Amino acid sequence: MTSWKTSEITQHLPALRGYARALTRNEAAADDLVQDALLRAYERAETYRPDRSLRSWLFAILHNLFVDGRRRGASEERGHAGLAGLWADRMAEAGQEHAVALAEIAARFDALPDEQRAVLDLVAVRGLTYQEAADALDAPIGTIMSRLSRARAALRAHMVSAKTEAGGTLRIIGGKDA
Amino acid sequence: MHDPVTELDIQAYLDGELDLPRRLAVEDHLAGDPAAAARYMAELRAQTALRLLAEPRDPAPAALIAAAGRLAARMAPPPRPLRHRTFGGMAVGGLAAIAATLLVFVVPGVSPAAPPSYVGDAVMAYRTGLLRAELRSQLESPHFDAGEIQRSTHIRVPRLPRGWQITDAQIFPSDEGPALQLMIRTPAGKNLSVFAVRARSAAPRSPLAMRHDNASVAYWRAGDMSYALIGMEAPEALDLAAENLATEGVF
Repeated sequence: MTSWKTSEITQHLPALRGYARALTRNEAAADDLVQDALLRAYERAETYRPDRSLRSWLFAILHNLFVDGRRRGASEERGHAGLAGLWADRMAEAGQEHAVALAEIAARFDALPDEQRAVLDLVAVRGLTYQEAADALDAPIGTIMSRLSRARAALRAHMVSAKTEAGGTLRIIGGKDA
Repeated sequence: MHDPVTELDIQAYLDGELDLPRRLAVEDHLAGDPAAAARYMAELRAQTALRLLAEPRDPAPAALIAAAGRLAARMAPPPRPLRHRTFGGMAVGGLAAIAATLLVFVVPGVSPAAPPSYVGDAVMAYRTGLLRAELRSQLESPHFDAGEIQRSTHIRVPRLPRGWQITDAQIFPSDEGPALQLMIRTPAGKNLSVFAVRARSAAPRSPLAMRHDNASVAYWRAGDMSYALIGMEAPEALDLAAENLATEGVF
């Protein structure tokens, strides 16, 4: 029987880094957060139960560190460029017709309260199950679902209002009510 | 009428959390309600857009990879699918590809191929034996008789050097049939194990020693029996001891 392979951990790095960026909205801070989370996981390796999803354990550690840091005011020290800044190259790649809509989504996602942004990123982007997200955020599944619903509604609502303000020239993804 | 489909159901459908009957209910609902279906499509596109934006594509910094490696090494082995039932509290698992993980200690004059599969089982059994020894009470000092073990198991055990004390004996099933492990304490206080299985394996007649999974193992075959000697010492020391065992013959 062999121990864990490095690849079994590194396979989660893109999702962990992405989640850390959604939380901190700062690339350097995000990677520091992931580094700290891996270190904390190392220190607490005995607490990992094999019957539990590894990634929800790692995400939980990362989230807790983020909350602790935020309580200490860590994120204020660094500031953040906003996710639109972080994602600028992706928007450019997507082409002219999508660029505006993507910028909209980025801005609205950025504007979400921390807890809604966290749950939306975990489930909608990183693909965690409701149970994994519940474990990672230490919240009941019902809370996960309602928080998720509010986050998505917030994204939709802003996009609807943007459309009515801009008239017909702005192409919006989502938020179309018949 | 079934439970009416709610917004949370539609969300759960989007997130792949529904079972088949409930998925059908949502799909029925969306098929009959164009406004709801359009909202669903919009939600799907918003999610795709978010995924497009939010995936980091720059490679992870080396420091993170290194931290991941340290974590992997630190964590207890994950559960692997077991091909064998447990016996006597010990499970002999299936083997992963050993070849990739071996560091071969070169015995002059021999060019080793990948060891036969029982070698991995043998090393794992050794580790478990060490654990059992730790758990056993200090006061208990069982006395094992090699001859009796052989009589009852019909597994031929190498004649052990004087002073080698058998501290534990375990039988367990393996791919090749019943295997016997003797935990040994040498006069110098070293913990070794002798693993014996009736198998015409590809093990050489003259012992070959190597590192495997952080232990040293020397393995050889005598007739229809295959053996391994395992310990924490350097492979050279085990190689020597195994040579003696191989030439001494069996009980």
